[in-house]
Amino acid sequence: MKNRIYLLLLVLAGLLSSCGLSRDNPLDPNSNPTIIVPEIISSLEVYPSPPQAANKFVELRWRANPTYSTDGYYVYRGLGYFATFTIVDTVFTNNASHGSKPWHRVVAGEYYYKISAFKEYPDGRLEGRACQPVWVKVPI
Amino acid sequence: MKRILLLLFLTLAASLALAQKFDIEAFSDSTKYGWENYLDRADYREELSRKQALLQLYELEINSLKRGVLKSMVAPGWGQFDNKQSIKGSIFLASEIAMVGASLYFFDRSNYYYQRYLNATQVEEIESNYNAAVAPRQYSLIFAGVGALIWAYNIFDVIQSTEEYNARVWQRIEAKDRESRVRMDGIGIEIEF
Repeated sequence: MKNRIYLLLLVLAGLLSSCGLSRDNPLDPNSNPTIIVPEIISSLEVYPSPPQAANKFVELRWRANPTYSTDGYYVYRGLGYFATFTIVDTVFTNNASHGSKPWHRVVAGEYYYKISAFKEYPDGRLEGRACQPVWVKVPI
Repeated sequence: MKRILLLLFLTLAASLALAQKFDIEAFSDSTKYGWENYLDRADYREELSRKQALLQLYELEINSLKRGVLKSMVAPGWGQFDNKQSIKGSIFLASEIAMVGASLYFFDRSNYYYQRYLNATQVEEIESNYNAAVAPRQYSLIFAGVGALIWAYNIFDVIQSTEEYNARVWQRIEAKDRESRVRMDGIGIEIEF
């Protein structure tokens, strides 16, 4: 009887040890060495539209990432440094004009913008880390 | 062929040489059981029939070891409850429920973050969700392991406690029989005056 219990314990130990978490996300760079993580963008500059402008906008420029690691960029906007940021535009060059497209909505106020790069893969789009948010005030 | 015949012959010779003689005197010796006369034999038979009657009662009252193990495998503590060890049974049951519950809770938390990890496309989210899934999974495994140990120990314990219970049953029946003047067995009722 004791031998059976020991056998049962061994089987249980085997089952428990085989229950580790596998890194099955195809975009996970830790499990797939062919995945290249896009770098954090640098030198972000943000310029608001001039005062009294009828159509308000925010111009953004940054240093482009190497093409082997980056296919495009997400433009994020938030109302505070630590606030929740929302993607307001997706661009494929190293500049953007928030307010230039019909669905953009820019009104006077203070905003924070940040940019993250992404790379296209067959299993989806891998987004890299976003840069530090940059403050901008859109004048009335 | 010759070798086989030789081997058979040798085997037969060895078995004849080593065979013991049947001792008819030792077999028919009536004193080997400690009986010196007819009365001793009659006393022995009486004692034997008394113990057989007690054995019938014992078999009615004991708990089956197999059934106890099976019950404790299904619900930890169940076998202990049958052995009149309700506190121990409650402890086994409660601790098993607690371990399984904690294990399931952490497994669920782990799965929640693991699903988020699988769906994540942002490198920080991939990493943070994976890390958030690992710790609860480990807790879940630890609680499951402790639960498995408690479950195994509960089975080990029910074997011991059933044997102890059955031994106590035998002692109680014997003590009751010694004290009792009225004896009941399969044959009838005996009253001592």
